[in-house]
Amino acid sequence: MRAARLFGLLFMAGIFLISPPSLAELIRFPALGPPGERLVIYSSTDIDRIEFLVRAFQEMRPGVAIDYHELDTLDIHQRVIVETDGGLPTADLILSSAMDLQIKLVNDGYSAAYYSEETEALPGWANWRNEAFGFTYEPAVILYNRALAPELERVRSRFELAKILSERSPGLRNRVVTYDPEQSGLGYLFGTQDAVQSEDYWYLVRSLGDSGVQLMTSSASMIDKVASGDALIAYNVLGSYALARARENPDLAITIPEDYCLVMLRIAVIAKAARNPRAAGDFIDFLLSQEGQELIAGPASLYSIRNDISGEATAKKLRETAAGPLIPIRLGPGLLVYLDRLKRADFLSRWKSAMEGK
Amino acid sequence: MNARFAPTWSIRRRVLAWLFVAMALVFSANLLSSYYGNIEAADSAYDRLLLASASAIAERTVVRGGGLYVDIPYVALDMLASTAQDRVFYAVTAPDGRVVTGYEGLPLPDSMAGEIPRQPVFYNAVFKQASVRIVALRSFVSGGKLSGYVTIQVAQTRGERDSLTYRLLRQSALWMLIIAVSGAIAAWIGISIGLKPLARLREALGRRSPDDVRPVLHDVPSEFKPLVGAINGMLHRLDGGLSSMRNFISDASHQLKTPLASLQAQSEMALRETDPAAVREALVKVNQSVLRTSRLAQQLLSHARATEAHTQAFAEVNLVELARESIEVLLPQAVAKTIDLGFEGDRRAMLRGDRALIGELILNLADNAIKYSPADSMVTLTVRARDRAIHLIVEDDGPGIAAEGRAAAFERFSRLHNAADHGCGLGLAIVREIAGRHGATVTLGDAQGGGLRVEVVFPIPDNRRGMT
Repeated sequence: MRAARLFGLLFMAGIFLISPPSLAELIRFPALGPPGERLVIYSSTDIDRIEFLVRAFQEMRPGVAIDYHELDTLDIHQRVIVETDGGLPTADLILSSAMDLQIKLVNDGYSAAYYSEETEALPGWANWRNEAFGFTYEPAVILYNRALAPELERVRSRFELAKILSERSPGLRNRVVTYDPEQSGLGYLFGTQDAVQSEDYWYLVRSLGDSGVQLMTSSASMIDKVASGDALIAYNVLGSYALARARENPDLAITIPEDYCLVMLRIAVIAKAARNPRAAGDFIDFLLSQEGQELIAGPASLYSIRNDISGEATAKKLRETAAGPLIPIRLGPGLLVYLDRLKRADFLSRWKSAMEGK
Repeated sequence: MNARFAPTWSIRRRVLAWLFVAMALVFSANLLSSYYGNIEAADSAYDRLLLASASAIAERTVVRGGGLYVDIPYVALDMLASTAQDRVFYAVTAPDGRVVTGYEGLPLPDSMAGEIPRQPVFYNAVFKQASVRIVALRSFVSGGKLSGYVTIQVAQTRGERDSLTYRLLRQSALWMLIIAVSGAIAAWIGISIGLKPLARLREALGRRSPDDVRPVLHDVPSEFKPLVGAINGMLHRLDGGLSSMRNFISDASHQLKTPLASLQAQSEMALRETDPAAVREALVKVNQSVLRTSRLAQQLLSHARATEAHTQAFAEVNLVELARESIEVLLPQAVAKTIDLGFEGDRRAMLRGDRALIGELILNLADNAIKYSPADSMVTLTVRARDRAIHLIVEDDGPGIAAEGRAAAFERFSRLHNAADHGCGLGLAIVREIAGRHGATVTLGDAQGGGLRVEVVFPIPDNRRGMT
């Protein structure tokens, strides 16, 4: 048992050493002054979206050097487990948009509890066990090219999307994009949550498959497709990316589905094996503070979770503009279900069947 | 237990202390039992949810394509999302012991190792460093070549259960605290009310004048009745002591008046005499009167002392020695009256007593005997140890005392004889007083020669004997 574990550890370590991590990137932010603490962050968020926050935090805590590891969500999850089990240095703070993986980290005991005024102020649905904290409130939206297909404005819901696809208009043929749930963790999360919400989802999947949907692994590439006209409409795009691009490109228009809109929370977790849990806690407090949330709503455009922040990328604005219900993905053991190996295989096979029109 | 209380602790304090000791014992027992009761209640409430989750998984566990297939329903884990946000673990194990899906290493209950129970089993264990409640369920699956029992386990950390347990425990602790406080208040008030009669008694006694020794007739709670009885007994004895003191003082002053008056008459007569021989004769009489008066004064003092004597001052006394000393003192008196004063008996008779008082007792008896005996007669003192007692016997040849007058002879200042000038009548009273102090009895009887026989019997405690 122990030998097997050690072998697994070496194996994982080997992977990290040998294979050049294509997504992994380490950005160092040296301390601005003494005494020279270090805060190690594993994050799935692009550094250019979050750099404002890191710098602002350092201005407040000049003694803290920050090592920002930008990693894929699954990498983050596996590294934390392997490093913790092996007694190796690991992250102090884990920021990830893979809510299910973050919940699994907490459920399996790789996280530490943290209490503060800021975490206590969070609503119950954004705090699980005082170990997982939601710090953004990001909708999954529909993006379309207004210039090329103005008629898509009337697509206000999944049902309408499915209907317009089933009309088989030649203009839309092969010009629809969505996440590949098999390749993308976020795509899988959105897909499974859609399936939990409504049985109609499978009707939509069949329609998408019928119209020759293009499957992508990131929101950015989906938006690129729509912006370039390769695609006219994208389903389940991250609201923050869509909003940032729509600001620059007036051809791009965002629709918040009116039947319901899934809301994804980026989750911050302090590692159980953190070397500097105090600084990690301070960073969480900063993320949840008025100042941090304003930066999230402003330069980062990541959709602030607090209700007292005004601006475009805020929970408040989203609530005001959404015509239908906003459904934040529920933190809790329900998220573990779709991480089940058999359940995942089952979901994907059903999804593929639906894509093929079965 | 009582020894731990300082004697000056108030009754209130004692009662409250005992109350708190008793309540602490009862409450700890109660808290302990309700703690385990609450755990059971919390478990039975949440076990159902755990079982529902396991059953939902069991229902979706099937054999498909020659292998085990599990489709965990979303609600199976989502229904366990509790307010305490407990962590959730699950495992589905194939008949061959392989974990089909879920967490590896979830502990099995002991009872599942061998026989397959039909009923689900609930048990506590530690998994991933957390204390968890687990349900294990066996479900039969069959299809193709595969058939057998799969084990479905669903586990949940104890957060919600513990918080319910402690919430219930806090409630019962709060109730017990309320009971304890109200009990203490009730006891406090009850004691105050209960002690009120005592305060009234204290006021009534405080108001009394110093010579008011009437018994206390206040109604008091039954617990205080013995105390009031004791106070009344003491008042009664005090009353008796006071009145006998008053009687004695009036008797004594009355008694002293007669010899003083005769002294005055004799000295005035002596002053009137011119003949030196007559003056001398008169002075002899004065002298004799002074002697008698001083003897009377001494007897009065002895009597007073005898009534005050305490047994604590007792010491070992040899009665024979005391009798011989008395004879030596009285010998001149006896010789003057040509009386044969003799002693008979043992050489040693030890008893516990007040040496001076017993000496006085012997002296009084012998003095009386000499006084009332005619000239040329015999007075005999006898000391004998017999039957665990020491007998002192004084016999004379005098007139004796008639049987009917013997009881009265012990009264103070009583004189039965015509020879009034011989004494003051205190002698036998003093004897009885002293004898009483020593637990001895005095009996008057007839001597062989017709005179008076006085016998004093001193008892000897079991552990000592008069020696011969």
